[in-house]
Amino acid sequence: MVNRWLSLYKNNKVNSIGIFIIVLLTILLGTVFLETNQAMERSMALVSQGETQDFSYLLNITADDLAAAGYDYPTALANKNEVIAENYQIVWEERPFAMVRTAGGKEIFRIYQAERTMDRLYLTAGTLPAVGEMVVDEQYAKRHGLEVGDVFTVSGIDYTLSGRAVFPDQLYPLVDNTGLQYDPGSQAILALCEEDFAQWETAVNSPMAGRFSGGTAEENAKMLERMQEDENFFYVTGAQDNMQIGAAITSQQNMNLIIMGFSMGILGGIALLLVIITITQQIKTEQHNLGVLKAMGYTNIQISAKYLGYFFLILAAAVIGYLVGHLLTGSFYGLQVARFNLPFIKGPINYGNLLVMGVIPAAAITLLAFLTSIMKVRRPALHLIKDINIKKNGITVRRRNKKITDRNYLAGIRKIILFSNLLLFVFILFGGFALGVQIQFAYTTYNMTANISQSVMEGINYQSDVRFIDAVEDRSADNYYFYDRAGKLELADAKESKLYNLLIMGSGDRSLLQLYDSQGAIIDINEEDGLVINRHIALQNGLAIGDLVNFDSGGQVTGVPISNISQSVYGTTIYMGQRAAIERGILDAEEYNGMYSGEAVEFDANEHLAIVQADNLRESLDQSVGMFRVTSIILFMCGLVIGTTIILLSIFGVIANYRKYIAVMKIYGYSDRECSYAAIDGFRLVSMVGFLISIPYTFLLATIMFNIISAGSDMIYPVEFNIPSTLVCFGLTMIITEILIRATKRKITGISFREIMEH
Amino acid sequence: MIKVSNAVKYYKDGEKKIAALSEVSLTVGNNELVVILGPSGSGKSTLINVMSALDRCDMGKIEYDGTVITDLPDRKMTRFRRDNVGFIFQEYYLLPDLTVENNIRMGASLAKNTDYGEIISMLDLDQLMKRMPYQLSGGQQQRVAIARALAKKPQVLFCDEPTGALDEATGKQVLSLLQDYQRKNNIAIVMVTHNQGIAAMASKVVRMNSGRIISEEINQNIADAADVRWA
Ligand SMILES: Nc1ncnc2c1ncn2[C@@H]1O[C@H](COP(=O)(O)OP(=O)(O)OP(=O)(O)O)[C@@H](O)[C@H]1O
Ligand SMILES: [Mg+2]
Repeated sequence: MVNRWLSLYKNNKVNSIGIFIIVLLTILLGTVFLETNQAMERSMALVSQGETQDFSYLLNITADDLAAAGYDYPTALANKNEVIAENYQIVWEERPFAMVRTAGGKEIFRIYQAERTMDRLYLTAGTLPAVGEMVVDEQYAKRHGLEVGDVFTVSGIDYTLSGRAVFPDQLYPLVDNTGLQYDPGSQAILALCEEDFAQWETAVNSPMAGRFSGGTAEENAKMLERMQEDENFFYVTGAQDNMQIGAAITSQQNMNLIIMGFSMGILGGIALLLVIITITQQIKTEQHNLGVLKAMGYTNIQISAKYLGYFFLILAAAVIGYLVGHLLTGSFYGLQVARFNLPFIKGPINYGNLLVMGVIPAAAITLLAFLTSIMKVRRPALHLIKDINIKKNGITVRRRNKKITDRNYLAGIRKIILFSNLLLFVFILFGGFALGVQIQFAYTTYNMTANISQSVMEGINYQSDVRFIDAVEDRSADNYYFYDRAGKLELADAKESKLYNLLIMGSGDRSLLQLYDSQGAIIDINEEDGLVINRHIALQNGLAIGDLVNFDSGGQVTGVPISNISQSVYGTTIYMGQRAAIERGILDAEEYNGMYSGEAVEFDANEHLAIVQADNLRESLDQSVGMFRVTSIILFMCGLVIGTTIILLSIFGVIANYRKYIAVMKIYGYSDRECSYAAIDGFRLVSMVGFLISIPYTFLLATIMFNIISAGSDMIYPVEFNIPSTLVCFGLTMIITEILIRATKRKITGISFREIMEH
Repeated sequence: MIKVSNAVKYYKDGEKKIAALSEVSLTVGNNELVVILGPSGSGKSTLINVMSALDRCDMGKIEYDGTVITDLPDRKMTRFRRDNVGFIFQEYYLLPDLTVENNIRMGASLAKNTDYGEIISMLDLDQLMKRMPYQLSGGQQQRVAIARALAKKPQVLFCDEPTGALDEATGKQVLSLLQDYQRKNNIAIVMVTHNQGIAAMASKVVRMNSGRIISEEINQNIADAADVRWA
């Protein structure tokens, strides 16, 4: 039996290798994405043993609350928390933190207290800190090679590292408060024991973490909704919607799922088609022998049984693909969680995955192939033996025959050959389509990442620093001044948005920060009558120009229209001109608490709340799109390999299918060139048509996919139709097809008159 | 005139070398009908394959009116076949996706021949032109194959058991058609057959055994195809 199967593969060497490669790559890709998601699940589950918060919130402390507490803010806060806890059956914990910036602003640290009742640290090494000790976040430690026992200095104070940890409330860390993205190269989250932590000055208004003390998931979800409508909260964010905890990881997982489904669907289809075509071809070449077997009394099932041998070929490819994918998962995971703070928990070989991804599809494909074979040999034995062509020609073939004249003979039969084998036609169409989808999708993703960086950085000319300080006294015209005010937008349907930073733009050199509208025209912020939001905020809240919203800044609510939408796709900053802000009562007078500066600013003490440099912004953007870039390169490579394989196999398929045609033509004195013109050249066009179909398909799919990802993310991923890159992909498809067609002409040279003379 | 001088052709069967042709010499005049007879495996097909520039011999020489074709590169051999020879096989090898008309055009277009109506009428194919091969009987298919070969206006027509799959009546009909055409157009026909009776219509009968020509006789009384004894 084994020998029979081996000879099955040997007789179809090229196709068998093709099936092997495609299945292997399909399963490999699928495994990497699936197991990366599973590893994320595992890490999250481990980390959540530290009782991850259900939500975080800030309270609205009103003048009345303050008065009732004798104008002592901490007391007022504690009192209100008591009431809230009682009302909603929750437990809470304040989550104070200190921000430290090293001289030069190059390194940023966020320091927490290590002892917690919820969001307890998940230690990847060592223990919680005692006095004089410190725990540092896993990513930073890994990046800088920090181990337990090392000494780590923060603002001149030495601490011994007692451990490395993952912070369950900072899985997608936010170290800086200004929206600067996490970068483990220069940003760390640290934790100290209570006594040491008390030495640090904490930021005002620290957020609260909360957990429901009981209740089912549904009850708690309802409760969360009620809390979000409660005036006593400034904001409440559920863990699932919290970028730092659930949302970013979920969106990453979704993306993985989409890419996985996307690639595997296409590749699986190809593998199936390929197996069916291979078997059809094989039956065609062997039909004489099959007929003899049948005449001797073998049944259709017995005859077809040998094609079940493909199961083992597919299975072997699937198992190898799975194992390689399993091995690569660690690296891919590392790539994906570079911006997350999640440990990699290596999983064992997952037989469930292997079954679902490898064994079941292999069995399904083989079964279909087996059925195909039964259909094909269900003919009288004599027909098989004598190679009697009982094929009834289709209407297309008959119609095409009528169009042949003495003058266009070769071109005419070229068209007939093209349409006479539907399966091959579809396969080649699919080859061009698959190559097109894979490389265009990769290219679209790649372009998108470039667009994002470009559209965010376009208006930013502050090479040096942005700083927020309490007041800006002496102003120079070289800088651009603003007043920063945090607040939420209340939308028409009484829903509330996330917290945004409203920058009220005033005087100074406006070239330092330019906003552009969707047409690319400069938005003159001081001519705008209302708020300017970006595309991401518009999309997330369903806002359009002209919509009226309430801007709620610490209880002070002002009605204001959306007057423009900037083309930026990223960030949580909204803008308004100073004149409009004063007219609407958001700002009392001309005042500033921050500036953009084109000069390098000396950093002194802790007086700056936050500092953002254009370079930092660029870097962190690069980082957040870098993963897409790498993914797109991987997809591109796979696309090239797979697309090339399919087109190659389809050409081989055509040649195999028309061997006798070609042999007769050659005997009659048609040259190799004429034969390949008639038999294969036509398929060049078919593969191009496949590519053309892939253009709208890819664009649509990419749009849908990235919209899904955008919804749970902190930026939108704008998919744009890019003509140059489509042309590049088209050219590439054409070149590959051309090279393959030329390379396979040798096959035609190899077809001899013996093809039809020997039996 | 085709002149075969000392043609040798080996086939490798594993380690062994089989001489399918050993030192075969033969001439075929420009309007001769030569019949080659011999038991199975005697080298008949091999001989006409090398004669018709389909295959190469390992030693020896083949000339057409003084032009040596044995040393031609592949491309020129193809060109030679295109311009000079036609083929008819035991199995007809019509292209299944082409109508009768377009199968015939396969030969005609090679010779840029647009004037093959006479051949069609001669072979009585007028009514079948729009049919597909699967709609034809064996005899009809062979007639189409002959039309395809003749439409190409060959100088020499090679036939490898053209009647092998046909019954007597149809076989004789096919032979008559070939003979008529040959007489009218003065072409050479080289025909391989197992059927001894067909020898009667040849101008020369060649017998082969084990890769050698064992006898070669000129036939003085050429019979009409219709009158041959069917074996
Ligand atoms: N491609 C090949 N490889 C090896 N041996 C071959 C090949 N073709 C023919 N032979 C051998 O060469 C010899 C001559 O074969 P050929 O086909 O010329 O015989 P034939 O006279 O036409 O027989 P038949 O009447 O059965 O058609 C035979 O012994 C055959 O086995
Ligand atoms: Mg023979």
